[in-house]
Amino acid sequence: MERDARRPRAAWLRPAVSVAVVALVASPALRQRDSYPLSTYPVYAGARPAVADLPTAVGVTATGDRVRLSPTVIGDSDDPLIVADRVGDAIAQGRAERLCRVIAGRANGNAGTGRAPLTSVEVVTEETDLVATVADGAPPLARTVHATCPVAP
Amino acid sequence: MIGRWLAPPAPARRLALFRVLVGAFALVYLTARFPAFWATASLADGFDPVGVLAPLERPLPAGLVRAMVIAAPLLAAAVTAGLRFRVTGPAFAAVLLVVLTYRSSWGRLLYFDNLLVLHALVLACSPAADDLAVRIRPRPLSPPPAPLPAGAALTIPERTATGPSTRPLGELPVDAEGVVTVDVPIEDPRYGWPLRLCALVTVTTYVLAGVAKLRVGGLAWLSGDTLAHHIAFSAARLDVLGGTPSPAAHLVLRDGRWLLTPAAVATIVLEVGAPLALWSRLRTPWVVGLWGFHAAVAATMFVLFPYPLAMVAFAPLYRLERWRWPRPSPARSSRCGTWGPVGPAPPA
Repeated sequence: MERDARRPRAAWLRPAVSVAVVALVASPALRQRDSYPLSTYPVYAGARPAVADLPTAVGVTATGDRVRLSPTVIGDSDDPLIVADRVGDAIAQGRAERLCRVIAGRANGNAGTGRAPLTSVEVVTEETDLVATVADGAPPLARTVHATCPVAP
Repeated sequence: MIGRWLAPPAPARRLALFRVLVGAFALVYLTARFPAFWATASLADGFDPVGVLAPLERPLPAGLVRAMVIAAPLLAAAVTAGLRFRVTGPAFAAVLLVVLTYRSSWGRLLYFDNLLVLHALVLACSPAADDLAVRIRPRPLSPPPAPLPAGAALTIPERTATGPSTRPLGELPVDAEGVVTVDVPIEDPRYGWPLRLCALVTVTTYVLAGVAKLRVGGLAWLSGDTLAHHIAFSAARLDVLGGTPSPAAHLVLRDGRWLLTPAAVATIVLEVGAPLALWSRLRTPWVVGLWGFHAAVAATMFVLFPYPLAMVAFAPLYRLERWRWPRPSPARSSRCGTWGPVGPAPPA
């Protein structure tokens, strides 16, 4: 405290800096502009509809069965957020064919996992009733195929 | 009045402990997520720079990104140890800011570590290494003073507002090597202010999160349906991407959906009411509630917010030095460094 008494500048500097820092942290909400690390923190804020379109890629076996591929095979990442974005962006930007070939190449490299060999890969969007699917295992309401490409044996 | 509240006197150890927590957390986090950060160096498509990197027109050189991804955990280790903090503190904050901003510059903003960066930036401007810091022992310029005789006692004069008095405050024992150990907790606003600022930053971010839910989702967010759809979306998305959805999501949505309405109300109350955590009586209930929210999100959505889950985000709200902390014995000190209070050299 003695130190502060000798430094009266601290008496106004600290409140001023504190207000400035808090205002800076809160500023994205005032400007409605999300960024990093200053953010509006909109996580889980938006109303999400009960039915959603989920972009992904599936493997197709010789018998026609469709099997799930791992996030690493689909999007070259173990983070599902990143993988979902990569697939969704590719579909939205008309790059589904290219992405399909890349995934088929990775799927080929991941052969021998004990399941039936894949003959092709499909980049798809699955229309899903979210709660029914998770709570009761309901199948997708619809499936749109954006690209199909063969998997090298 | 407001100045004293913003900068309450605090011991150097409290701020130093927070520095250790932030540095250790960052070290573990950056090491555990090293492959993800390393992979950003080879990304090419979808560069959408944000924050301090917004002026960039093209991705950073891969070599520079990799150098920073390697440097970040090393600097975190130095900050944890308090090693040359005046240099490593700001360097750590700057590198952490760039590495984490760069990861969010590929089309998706991530929110897992914003607070870590903000706290690191505040700490970098603070005297957070005045205690619990490794220091390289300087070479003495003059012979050290002769040690006091073993068994002697050092008389400490009482210091009053007008100066030293002649009345002794007490006597301190001198050990066999002639060393007097004085463990006097010195409290100073310089140490309390950064902690208060970090606490304010923490509660502000939670207020923003609560306001965002009400602004974007409206009062309908309180019904619990939005929360149910978010939980279901996370699980369903993970399922279609070949992951394993949370069994807790299945259980909650099948049998416990009624829980989501009170959970949604509690979430909004905790987030919008975050400033109440600055009141000591409500601090721990608020922290427990928010920690429970993050734990529930982790359990049902497999989405981890490690900084609050590890409690480091809430640490500036507490008097950390009151936790039990093992006191290092002199035998543990090496010849080249010491772990203990760092301050001005004693008078010769």
